[in-house]
Amino acid sequence: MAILECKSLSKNYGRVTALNDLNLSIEPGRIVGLLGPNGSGKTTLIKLANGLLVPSSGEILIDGEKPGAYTKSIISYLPERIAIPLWASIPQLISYYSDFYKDFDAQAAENMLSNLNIDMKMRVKEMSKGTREKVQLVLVMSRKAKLYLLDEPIGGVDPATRDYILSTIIGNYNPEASVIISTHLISDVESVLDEVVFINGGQLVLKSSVDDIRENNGKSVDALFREVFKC
Amino acid sequence: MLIKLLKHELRATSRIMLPVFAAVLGISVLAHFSIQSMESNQSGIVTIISGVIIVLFAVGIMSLPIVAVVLSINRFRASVLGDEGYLTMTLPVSVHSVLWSKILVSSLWLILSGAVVFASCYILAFDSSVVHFTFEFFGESFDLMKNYPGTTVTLIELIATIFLSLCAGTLSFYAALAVGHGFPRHKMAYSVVVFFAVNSILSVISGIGMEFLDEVDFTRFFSSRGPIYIANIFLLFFMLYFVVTGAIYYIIAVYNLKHRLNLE
Repeated sequence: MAILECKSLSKNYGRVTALNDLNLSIEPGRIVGLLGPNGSGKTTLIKLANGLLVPSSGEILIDGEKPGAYTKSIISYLPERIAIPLWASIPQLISYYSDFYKDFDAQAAENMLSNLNIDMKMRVKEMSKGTREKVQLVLVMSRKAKLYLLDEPIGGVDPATRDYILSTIIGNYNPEASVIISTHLISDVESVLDEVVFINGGQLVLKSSVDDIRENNGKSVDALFREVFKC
Repeated sequence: MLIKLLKHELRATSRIMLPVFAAVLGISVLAHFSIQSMESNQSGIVTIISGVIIVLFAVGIMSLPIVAVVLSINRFRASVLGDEGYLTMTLPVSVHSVLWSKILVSSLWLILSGAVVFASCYILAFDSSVVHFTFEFFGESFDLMKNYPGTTVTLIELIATIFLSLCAGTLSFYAALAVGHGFPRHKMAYSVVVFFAVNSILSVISGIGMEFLDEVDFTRFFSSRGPIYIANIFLLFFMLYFVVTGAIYYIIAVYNLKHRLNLE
């Protein structure tokens, strides 16, 4: 069974169509790049999967169920902005995640934070933007979720941290789980992807394995993206 | 899950409210000694300092409920409708649990604010006669409840009415915020407009209801009943009013959080 399935999924904001009759299926155990230009509907799709938005028509299913308490318990979501409370300390954040997510591994989180030399006594408001992003990612990747939805996980960090984040994603996710990464920085994530999904104007443009793109098109995903979405 | 939400909501809010309570109670102690020093005709500078402390005390106890309300509104806006909403609204819990955790904790802080205001006034006026009066008051109250069992029910109804009024009041803010934040821009402005619009509509409906009740002759019904019975009827009426208005606000808030959530 698909871990994420969209059936004729549409989402309108007033007269603006963000997703238009999207049909998509993501199988378990895949690392998928959700790629598209600005305003293509990537974040809307991720928000719909998380139950933060309700479809205008069609449906989205996570592990065969509509978004709700169950699907939220199996999704580990990294939003594109800092969502962890600024007043909280790291132990308080770990306690928060431990209380709400049965699959959260507090020890794994502490180890990763220690590897990143992040002071456990610090409060989020005392951290730099980059450190906040790292802490948020560590918390998300310390879960043994079935589906990881990562919205721009490497957008605001330096290249060295970018490498660490990607190795964290690869090193910590459950191999039976799926990871969907939405990003503009295709060349940075290309090496870790199994599949790519190109969307534009809320519609599916391409769904293919990275190997097929290289074999059939003789191009990298980054080069194909630039060709498909050439302005 | 509601217990866990309550735990974290209390953790998030107590870091503000407990120091505020401690500060107000501390000023009350200082204000108590300030009054004593003013009564004993101290020097000018002591009188000025005492006056400032007493003014601070007055400002403190008057602003305490306002602080609790502002915190409740701000907390809901930040943790549900702001950036933290990405975390709160993707927890594996229902919208109902999230909403109830906010309502209950907000009501708790409002009740405790009232208790701290009462305690502060008690500290300010503390002396042997006040202690004597307190014992006398509680003694007579217990006697009343013992001799007239109906008063116990009235007291429980009064507490329930206060609690329901706090829940309904808190929900009126949450419903307005949930509607206002469904708009793409000017979210707070829309929230304020919705707050006054919904409250105006409910006031008009309540006014029409009161007019209708005014036409009914209750004198025959009440003339043969005792004062406790009449008080019970009135309290039940207010409880019903707060349950109905609270339910309306609750439905508005839940619908908007489920279907019109519009996080940036």
